[in-house]
Amino acid sequence: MAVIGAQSLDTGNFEHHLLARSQKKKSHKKNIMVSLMLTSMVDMFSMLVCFLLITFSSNPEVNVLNGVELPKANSGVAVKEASVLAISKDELFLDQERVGSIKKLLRNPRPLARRLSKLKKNWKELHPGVEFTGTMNFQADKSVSSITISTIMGILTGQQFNIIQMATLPGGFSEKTK
Amino acid sequence: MSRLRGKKDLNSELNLTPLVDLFSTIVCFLLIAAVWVQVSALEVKQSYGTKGAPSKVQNYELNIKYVNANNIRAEFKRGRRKRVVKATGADFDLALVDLNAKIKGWIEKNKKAVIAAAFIKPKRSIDYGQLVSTMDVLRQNNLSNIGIVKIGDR
Repeated sequence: MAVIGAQSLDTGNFEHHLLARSQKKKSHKKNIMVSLMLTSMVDMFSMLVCFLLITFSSNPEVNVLNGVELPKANSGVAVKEASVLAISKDELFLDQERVGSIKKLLRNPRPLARRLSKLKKNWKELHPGVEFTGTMNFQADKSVSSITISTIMGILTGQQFNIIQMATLPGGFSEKTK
Repeated sequence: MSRLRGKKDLNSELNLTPLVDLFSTIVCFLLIAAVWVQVSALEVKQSYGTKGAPSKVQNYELNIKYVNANNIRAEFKRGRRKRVVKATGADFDLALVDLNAKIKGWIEKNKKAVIAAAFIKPKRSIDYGQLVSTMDVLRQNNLSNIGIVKIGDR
């Protein structure tokens, strides 16, 4: 028999009462009285709930590709929902699907252009009568050459993806200087 | 004492079971819904040229060029008028600090002027992390219209 919440107020009398009553009823049975102290658990839960509520964010969760180390910036804003173009050290992914190796795509960007064109077509079908916004979430490893980045951005611009949101992690320039 | 003897003991126990149930559910929900890595974004608008503004404000264009990893060239341009500023440092980060100070100084000096757009010209020796740091500096100076120049375009 477990008495839950026995720690509250002066419960000594009540426990004795329960014990005496059970002894009367079933005197032949061995009575085991287990009292669970819930105070510390409730304290812990309260603190955990407070912490999680404070850190709770309504922003959409962005999945960062494995092996991509994002650069740091301090003036970043909240990420809007859009398709994700990710560049690892040597491969390119569009919405988690591999498009090809960077070297090959820089020489022949047609597979990427085709995928982007398809993406744009799908967007227009899903949003009839709405002007194409051309927003793309861009994730790239911080060690990738800036020339590669500008070339890929050129391909994006060519397919009317003009608003590019470069994913960053908090931290960076002002932290070092201040 | 004799008055109290006749009364029943009052059960003033607080039932914590529903409270614990509620807390467990909230904790589970918040743990699942929690975003552990806070990713933010720097927005780049890939457009070329500054807009011809009919206002009295002087619209400038800022071109950033990397001479090498610790030497950055900033060019404030309006029509034919051009002012070149060089930012240097022992390493890239210090060059960025210098660039930040020089942009701030220019803005302070030219209060009537507005930098309508900023363009960064990439270089092979500069990586994406350094490019984003440069954009971060421009953003911190309230430049919102930032573009990255594709090699061969300008």
